[in-house]
Amino acid sequence: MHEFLIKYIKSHSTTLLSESDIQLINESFIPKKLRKRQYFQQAGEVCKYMAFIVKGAMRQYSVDDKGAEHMVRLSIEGWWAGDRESFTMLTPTIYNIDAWEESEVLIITKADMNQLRSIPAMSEMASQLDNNHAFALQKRVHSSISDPVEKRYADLAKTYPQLLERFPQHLIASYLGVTKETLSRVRHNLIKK
Amino acid sequence: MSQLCISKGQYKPLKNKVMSKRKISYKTNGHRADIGSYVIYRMVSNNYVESVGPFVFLDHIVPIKHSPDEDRKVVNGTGAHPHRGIATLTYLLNGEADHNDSRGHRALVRSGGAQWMKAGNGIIHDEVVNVDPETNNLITHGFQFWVNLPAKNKAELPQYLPVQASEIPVKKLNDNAGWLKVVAGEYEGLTSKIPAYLKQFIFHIHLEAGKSFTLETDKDQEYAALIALGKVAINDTESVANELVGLDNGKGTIDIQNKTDETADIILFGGEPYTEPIVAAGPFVMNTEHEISQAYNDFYNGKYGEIKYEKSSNHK
Repeated sequence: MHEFLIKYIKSHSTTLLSESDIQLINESFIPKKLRKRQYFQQAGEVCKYMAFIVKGAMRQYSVDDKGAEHMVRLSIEGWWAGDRESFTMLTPTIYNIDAWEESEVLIITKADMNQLRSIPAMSEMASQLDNNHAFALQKRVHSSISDPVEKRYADLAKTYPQLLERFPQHLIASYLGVTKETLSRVRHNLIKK
Repeated sequence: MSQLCISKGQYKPLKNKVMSKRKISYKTNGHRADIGSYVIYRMVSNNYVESVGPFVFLDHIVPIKHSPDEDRKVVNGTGAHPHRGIATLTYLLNGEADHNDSRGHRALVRSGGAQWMKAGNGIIHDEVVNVDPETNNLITHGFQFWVNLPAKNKAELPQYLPVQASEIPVKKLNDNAGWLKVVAGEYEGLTSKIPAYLKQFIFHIHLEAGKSFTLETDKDQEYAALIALGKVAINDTESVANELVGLDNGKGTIDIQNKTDETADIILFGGEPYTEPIVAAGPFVMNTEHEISQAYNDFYNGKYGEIKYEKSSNHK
């Protein structure tokens, strides 16, 4: 399982990983299996772990007073899952994170992630991920406030087609902030074109 | 200069002497860092400095007028979080702070009061700020500082000290210029109850319309001023509410002038620079990366205790 993670780290850094670096990384990331719909994190808990997805799909969402779920993040293989704010600040999370499919993940605590920063490649990777994260969030916020849902769906289909394949329409609709009926209409109109 | 006595953070006003002023090093509005429904501007650290004296963090909880129907926030665990390596120092201009921590301290501090929580080797706290039921103004407005503790004090047990408004020493300024409250440190023989490990001070200066105040500084200490309310000129630089003005190092006075026809309130703070290494992550400020990892692991292992939530009637 760790080989996939090591490949991922190498693809996000320029500094070579030594054998002892790899050993430390392997010891710090703990394998975990999640059944379909098993919680990784529940709202109200402090996020002790971040997860790197080796196989499977996970979702991060809040639940409002009426019981409606609001998708903040949908993740698949090679992506991360976890509430970074709760993970870092040790405040209770407002999100639930669960496995949408049976999943195999590698989990790590903030304490161990901190120790790994002494490895230059890990530090590089963290910096690259922070940038990617900031860029993606900026795009998503801008799109949310200025683009019609047709464009937002088309952009999602173009940028992350895997998400449309792995998650059902009602979760994609929630992720886009629309009802499943609206998304159905959007998709129907796109097909007609 | 010989008649001026500056030792252990004690200040005396300048008399009959024209001194040069400290230069303004920077001015900033900080950045928005709201927590929940609190509107907060993070002033320290900022784009210019990581710290001012031993203060490594300053949040300005800006003044908000609340609706009389608004539900009061309660301490119920949703905001609980740990700290280690610092002391939090909260000063409230308006509002009621409800504090609860894992060492069993529980207190309400009201408008004009302050509270100091030394996290030492680790504590969990949960706090909310509501309007002060003993005033009629429906406003919340306050400041939270993090004081970085020297290495040896980071290893000590946590402590907590509430300081109500009546316990904060206040000095009337000459010429009916207003007053100065010693929230931390010393001023003209008035000393705050709040303990200090490095020289530190927080002065709340209330300046009447058209009045001014001058402070002789200690060349070895760092200074900054947060304009809480109103508009002033600090060493000839105009500043408005929610601006932080940083003063350059070295000798010179700090001259605050209120040229308007309304009052102004300034939080002047600073102290001795922290010279040990600083490694910060999340709610922890330690001296090494290893200590940061240790701080997280100790939290996971329950070493900071648990908060026992009780009803408000049990407050001191």
